[in-house]
Amino acid sequence: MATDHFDDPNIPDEERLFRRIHPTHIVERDGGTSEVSSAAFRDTELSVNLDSVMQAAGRKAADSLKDHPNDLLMSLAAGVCRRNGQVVGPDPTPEEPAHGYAFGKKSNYNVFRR
Amino acid sequence: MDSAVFQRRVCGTLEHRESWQTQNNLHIPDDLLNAVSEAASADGKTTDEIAADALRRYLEHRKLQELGNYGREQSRRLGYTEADVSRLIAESRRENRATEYSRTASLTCEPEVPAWLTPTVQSLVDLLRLPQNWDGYGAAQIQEQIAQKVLMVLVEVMENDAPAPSVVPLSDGGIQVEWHRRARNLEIEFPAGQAPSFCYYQDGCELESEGQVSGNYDRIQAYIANLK
Repeated sequence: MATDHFDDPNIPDEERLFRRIHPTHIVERDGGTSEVSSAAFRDTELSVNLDSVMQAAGRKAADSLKDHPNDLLMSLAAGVCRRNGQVVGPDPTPEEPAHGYAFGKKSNYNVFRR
Repeated sequence: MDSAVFQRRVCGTLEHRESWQTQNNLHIPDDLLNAVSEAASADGKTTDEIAADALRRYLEHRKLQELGNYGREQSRRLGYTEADVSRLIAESRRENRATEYSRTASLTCEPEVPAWLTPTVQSLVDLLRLPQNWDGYGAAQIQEQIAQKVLMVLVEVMENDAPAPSVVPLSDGGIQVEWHRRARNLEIEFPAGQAPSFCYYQDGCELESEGQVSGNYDRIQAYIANLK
């Protein structure tokens, strides 16, 4: 986990940030549809995988699920995070070179609302 | 306990052991094992699967008992009986007390069981079974006292015919309940170590309302009523 969070200008707003979603965070809407609960995005430091880093390594998005095959995967645009007061940066780890973060305080209603 | 009586087959393999030195083995009486084997065979399952299922059910049942015991203890402490439950819930909702958590109605399900209660309790039990790091991002185990707090608040703010909420875990060990119906959305968050809060909004609109749960039961009740 990064300790010095900064917004990396080398990550464009169009960058896709992949985030695993635990099945318990899928909630029902009426009409038989479902959505991802805001609880899935509540962490101040939200771990993500940076699409560009994965692509550069020849990895596909689904590779983010390799250790969590029952999870779902969704993507967020870095620009959406920034427009809601978050900073987006890289945080590579030995286990996940594409690891990054969307950092910032998240209220119940701010960042990832429809 | 007479160990001779409990010489067992272990996971379908007959073993005779002089002691209880077991690791990941299950010891059950032979007659029960035979009955389970027959039932498993008839259902196309292994005895291991049957045993695992039985143990899961036991743990779920135990969690429910713990929640029930908590409610009964509260009732005993406050001098309430099951006959008082419906009246207490109604009174509680009317009073909109400033100290919501100091006195609560019994969590006992009888005589009138709100439609939302059983699925909500089951969801809470399911969350309590999540292990440490359940999300793979380092999440904490869900705290039982928060599950109890969730039930206390819901009993206060929900009518018997209110729709059951979705119950989701928070990474800090807390719980969030939420409804998304009729283009209206209500979320009540119970984070670990912080006061519960809520937010309400309509699809495609700006945030309409948010705040602490404490002192806002009337508003939350009205939002839930609008979800029906």
